[in-house]
Amino acid sequence: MPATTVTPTITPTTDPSITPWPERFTDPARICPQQRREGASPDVAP
Amino acid sequence: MAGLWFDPSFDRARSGAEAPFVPLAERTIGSFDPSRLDLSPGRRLRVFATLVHCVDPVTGAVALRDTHHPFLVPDQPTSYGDLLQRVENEDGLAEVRQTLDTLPLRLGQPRPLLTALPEEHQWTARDPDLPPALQDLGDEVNEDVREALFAYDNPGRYYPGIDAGIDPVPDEHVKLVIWALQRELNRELRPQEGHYGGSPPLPAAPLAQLPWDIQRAVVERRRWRYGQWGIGRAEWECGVWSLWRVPLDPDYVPRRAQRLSPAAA
Repeated sequence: MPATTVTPTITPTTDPSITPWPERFTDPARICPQQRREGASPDVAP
Repeated sequence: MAGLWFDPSFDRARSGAEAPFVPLAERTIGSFDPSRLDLSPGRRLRVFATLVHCVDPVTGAVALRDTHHPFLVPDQPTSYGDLLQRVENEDGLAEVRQTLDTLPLRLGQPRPLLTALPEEHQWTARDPDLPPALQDLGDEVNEDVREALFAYDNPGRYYPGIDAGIDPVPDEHVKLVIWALQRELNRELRPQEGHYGGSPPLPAAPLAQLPWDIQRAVVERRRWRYGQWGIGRAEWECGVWSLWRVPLDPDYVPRRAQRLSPAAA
C-alpha cells in the first residue's frame, strides 16, 4: 500500500504584495562603504 | 569581509559606546572614517577630517592622507576644527590649500565618461567610485535611493524631486542615471562570491519599476546632492573637485548617521 502523501495547502513563500521592500530587496543604504561611493556613479554626470 | 557589512554593528565605532562623543570641531586629530556612524556636524569639516591624519600623537604632527610627511607640527595635539582654520588662513600652508583645491573625483581604473546608455555593457568587478572624502555624498545618494524604494509598497508615497537650484534634467538623463544606479545595485548580488552567512543575498531592487516621477525625483536629488558638495558639470567633466567649494554648512549631519546611530535615537 503506497504511503499517504499530504499536499500542502499553503506553500511557504514571500508574498510581494504584503512583504515590505527591505525584505524583498537589498537595502542600498546597507551595502559596504565603497559600494555606496560607487553608487554615486561618478562616471555619469550629476 | 564583504559579509561583515551585513552585521548591523559593523559600522559603529568600536569604542563608541564607552567614549564620550566629541564633535569633530573639538576632536583631537587622529584618523577619521566617515563610513562609520558619526554624528559630528559640518559638511566641509567632515570632508577635511577625512583628508588629514595625525602621524605623531606626541607632537600632533598632521599629514595629508596617503602620505606620512607632516605639513604641520604644532608641538601639541590639535583639533580638526583648529587645523581647518589654520589651513584656510595661514600663508605658510598655501601649498596644502592648493592640494585640497584640486582633488580627484573618481577612483579606480580610468574609463570613458558615460553620456548615453551604452548599447552593450560589459559587467566588471568595479566601476569608478568617489574618493573616501566624499563618502557622505555617496551615502546621501544611497539614502535617496532607499527612500524611493518605499514606493514599491506605496506608489503614491510623497517623494519630491528638486524644482529649483539645479539645471533641468532631461528624460534621457533620468534613464541613464537609473541604469547606472542599477548597475551598482546589481553588483550586490556578487555571484562570484555569494557567501553572506550561508544564505543568498537579496536581489537588487529593480529601479526601472519605480513610478517614473519617482525615478525622475531620484535623479534630480542626485544632481542636487552633487551640488551640495560643490560638484557640477564642469567638475565632473574635468574629474577634479575642490574642498573649498564644499560649503561649510556647520550644522550638516549625514542622514545615514541620523537614521542608524543609537545616539540619535
